[in-house]
Amino acid sequence: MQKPLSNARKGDLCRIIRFKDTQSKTETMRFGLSAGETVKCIANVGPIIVGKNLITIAVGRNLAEKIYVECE
Amino acid sequence: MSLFGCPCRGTCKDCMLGCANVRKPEKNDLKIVLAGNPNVGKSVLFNALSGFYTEISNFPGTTVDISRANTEFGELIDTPGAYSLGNYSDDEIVTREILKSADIVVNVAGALTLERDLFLTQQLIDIGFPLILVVNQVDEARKNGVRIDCDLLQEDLGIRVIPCVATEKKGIAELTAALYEKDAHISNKIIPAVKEIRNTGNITESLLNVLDAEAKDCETKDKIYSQRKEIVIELSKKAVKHCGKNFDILSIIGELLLNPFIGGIAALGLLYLLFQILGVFIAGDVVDFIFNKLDSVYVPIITKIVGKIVVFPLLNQILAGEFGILTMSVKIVFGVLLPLISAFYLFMALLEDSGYLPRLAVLADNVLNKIGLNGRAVIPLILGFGCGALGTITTRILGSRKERTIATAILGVTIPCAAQQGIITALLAAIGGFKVWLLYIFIIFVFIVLTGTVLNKLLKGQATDLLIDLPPIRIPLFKNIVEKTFFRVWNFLAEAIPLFIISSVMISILNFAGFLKWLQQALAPIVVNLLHLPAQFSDVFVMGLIRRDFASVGLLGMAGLENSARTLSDLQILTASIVVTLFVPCIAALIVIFKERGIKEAVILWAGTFMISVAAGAIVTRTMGFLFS
Ligand SMILES: Nc1nc2c(ncn2[C@@H]2O[C@H](COP(=O)(O)OP(=O)(O)OP(=O)(O)O)[C@@H](O)[C@H]2O)c(=O)[nH]1
Ligand SMILES: [Mg+2]
Repeated sequence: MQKPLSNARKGDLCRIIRFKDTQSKTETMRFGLSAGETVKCIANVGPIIVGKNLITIAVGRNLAEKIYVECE
Repeated sequence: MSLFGCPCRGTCKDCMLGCANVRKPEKNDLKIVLAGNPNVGKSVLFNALSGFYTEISNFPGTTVDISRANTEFGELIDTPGAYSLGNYSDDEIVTREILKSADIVVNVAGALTLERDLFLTQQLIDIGFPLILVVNQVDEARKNGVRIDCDLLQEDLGIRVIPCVATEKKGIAELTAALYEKDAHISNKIIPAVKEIRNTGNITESLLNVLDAEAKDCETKDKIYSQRKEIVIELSKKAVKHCGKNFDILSIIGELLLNPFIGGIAALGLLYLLFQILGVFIAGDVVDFIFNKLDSVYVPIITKIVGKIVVFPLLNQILAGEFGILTMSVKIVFGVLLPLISAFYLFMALLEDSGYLPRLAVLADNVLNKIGLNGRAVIPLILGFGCGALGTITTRILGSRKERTIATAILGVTIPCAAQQGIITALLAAIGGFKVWLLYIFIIFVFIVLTGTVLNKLLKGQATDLLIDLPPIRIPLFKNIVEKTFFRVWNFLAEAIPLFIISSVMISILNFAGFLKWLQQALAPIVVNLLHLPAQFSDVFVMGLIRRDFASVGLLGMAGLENSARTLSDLQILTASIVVTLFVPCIAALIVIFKERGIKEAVILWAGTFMISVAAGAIVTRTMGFLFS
């Protein structure tokens, strides 16, 4: 089921499905995240910290609300 | 060197020590620009290639201005890191501007983050720069079970690719050779969306064309970005092999620091450590020892010598009087400031190189959101504790004008710099220990929140969203720590000594002419009635106009830490510390504020801080008496 990344829990593996607007999409893309990729939620402490291979990025809560993911 | 030293702290051509060469580049010199994502090691590479020095730290956004050096193969230029070349933050704009005139671009990518970093590489290819790709930090990649096929990258990208470990000088020889041979090529592996718009003849035009296209509307930008991303994902699938990760204690620490509880305890622990080092060990033991030696051995000798040679009374006063250059200045700079500053900068260097700051940014994000900033602002604010000028320049990494203004104001109003911190910690350690110091920190914190809240309400716009790369926790490199501390201390002295001399002369003359006495009377309503401090405290104001740490120095004498009679009570010391902390930015910081934010903001800020400092002092002296009764 789709949900915003801001609702992800620590340990979740989240597949990025889509973005709410193109601005958030291009902004996250240059940081290395794009639709179709799977990231691991390392922590959710306000900002969401996600990891992909060896890249670790902190995503602010507002932005995370615009990123829709499917988690397992 | 400029009069005030250089607020860039060793990154521009005016600096001491020739940290950047002053030789004018020859006409036919090639401009070689190092460009790449933040924190991939561009500055390490710059230092290794040129033999010059620019600052290196383990967080994104260390370099915020360009550094230049002349080398045998051309003029080498270090740039602020950028994830892409659109209009995002001021430091990325600096990079874009310098790229306009680049002849060769050395694109530095991190081996750990290659999948992301190649996005910028593709943009540089699309624009049409003659390019060399350096894949740096391959040692860390190998440790983490990542193998990168540089031959394949080279073939697929159509440019020279060189693996490096910049910190161990591996790969530097290959890169130097490639630069000598101008082994940089314009790749034709461009994405379809920019094929028609790129100009093959002229780089500047091509750069503008491509960036214009990206900025035109969201759809075009989306199309271009998506095509780029697609190529990059494809390529990194082929060239980057993950072979399982080893167990790594540092990455576990990195994860733990993101836990609010553990992170909070770690922050408190660091504060306590800082207090023990600065307030107890350095201020208590080291300064005491050096200061006493200077006072009992050096001062009597120099006073006698000057007394013999210089008979003219004013000159005698200037050289060896109460505020004399050879007496007070030497005692303060070498006896008090030098030890405190060195210890503080060493502590900061360790913090900066560990990778702790971006993690602190994550934890502070919630609080900072409430005052119109995001977590990223932690970086300029913490750097501001070292030096306000450095902190102010670093506000360039913030995403919007509003955020930059708020952060600059907080730096100008509240954050004490290293020298001031040192002295105030020493004072507060003497009157009440860690408890009173914590209270002092708390009061500063309150003013940070107040300043931020008010400005957040007044200024239009919203804080941009936090998006920050968390680099791996690294064990600080000994060489880098020593080098950084040395250069910062050196720059501090270069800045402080001339100003100290000027202000010594000025104050001696003013004192001689009876002006200080007059000023004491004139300011008495504020100093005596409002702040409950002795009239003599107005001298501190005068010194504080020039540098805030001088103001703190003035306090030292009145607090009896300078082998002089103590004239202040405990409460007065706390009040005075708060006033001095919140007092107007020093001249060096003011110049940077003026340059970065314009005259209007600089003037408002200056006047505002003066009033805030007096108001805060008046409140503290009326409410905190219970602490010392
Ligand atoms: N292990 C390892 N660490 C490296 C290497 N190169 C750089 N580093 C570390 O990476 C961090 C960043 O280095 P900098 O040179 O400051 O990076 P930068 O690209 O200039 O960063 P910005 O100025 O923020 O854009 C520092 O902690 C370096 O010690 C390398 O080859 N191997
Ligand atoms: Mg740098």
